[in-house]
Amino acid sequence: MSEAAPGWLVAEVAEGIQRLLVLRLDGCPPADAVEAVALAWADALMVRGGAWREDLDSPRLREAFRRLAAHATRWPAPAEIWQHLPARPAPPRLQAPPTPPSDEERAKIRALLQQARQHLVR
Amino acid sequence: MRLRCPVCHAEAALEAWAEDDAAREMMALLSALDATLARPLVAYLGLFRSGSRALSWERALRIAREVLALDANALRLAAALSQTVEQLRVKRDAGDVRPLTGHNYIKRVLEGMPSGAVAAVERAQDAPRRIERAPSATVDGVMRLEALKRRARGVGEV
Repeated sequence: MSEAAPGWLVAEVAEGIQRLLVLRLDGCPPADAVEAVALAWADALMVRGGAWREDLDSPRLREAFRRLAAHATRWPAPAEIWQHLPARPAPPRLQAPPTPPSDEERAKIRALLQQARQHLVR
Repeated sequence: MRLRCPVCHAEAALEAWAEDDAAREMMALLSALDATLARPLVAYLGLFRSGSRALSWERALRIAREVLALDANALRLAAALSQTVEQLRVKRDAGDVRPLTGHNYIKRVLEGMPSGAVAAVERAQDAPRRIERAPSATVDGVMRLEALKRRARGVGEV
């Protein structure tokens, strides 16, 4: 059983559904059903997406709905959002050492590794 | 072809406006509204423009959605918008040209609006153009979603 959608996710989906609604696409839901539609979309995202994080995923969802609105020619199913969802931002990479080790340091490292090997295979 | 908005004074080629997502959405939103509501709404948006800067489409769209969510009765909202615009124009003519930054003013107008004000607007309409609730299914839907967003942001889970 998947968890209930958090408030921020429901709000993002409602914003996206608003964006789609004003386009008046074929198959558009009736006005009195839009809240239920938004909640069903949020639930579908929870079932398939799982661990959503507001800080990482809120901008992605907004962009996905923007792209979906740009491509849709009729009212979309929730599954279509995944085709337009950008990847999460990559975590920051480790910085390269400021200067590469010198030949002397390399020789010292090799010697230490050699000692370690001898110690282990003794 | 270059177009200039008579309210917010933004000027751009028609092609450029059609390219802008927010501009397109704003046009779609306005076209879905009855003129009774669309006209005072556009005038109200102009109150948010500062003297030196045009109002961005993103901001105009956000403001329009916010104000449409303030009251589900389109006639009452139209009356409140007209009253707000008139009163603030009087203040502007008197030298207070600060742009609006929120909806507190119109909220107060809505709170203090007697039912007779809506009736007066209603009487002024042609009978076939009367609207008893939301002016269109699209705007009705947008307003419902705006309310859902507020509820969703107000509580942890929905």
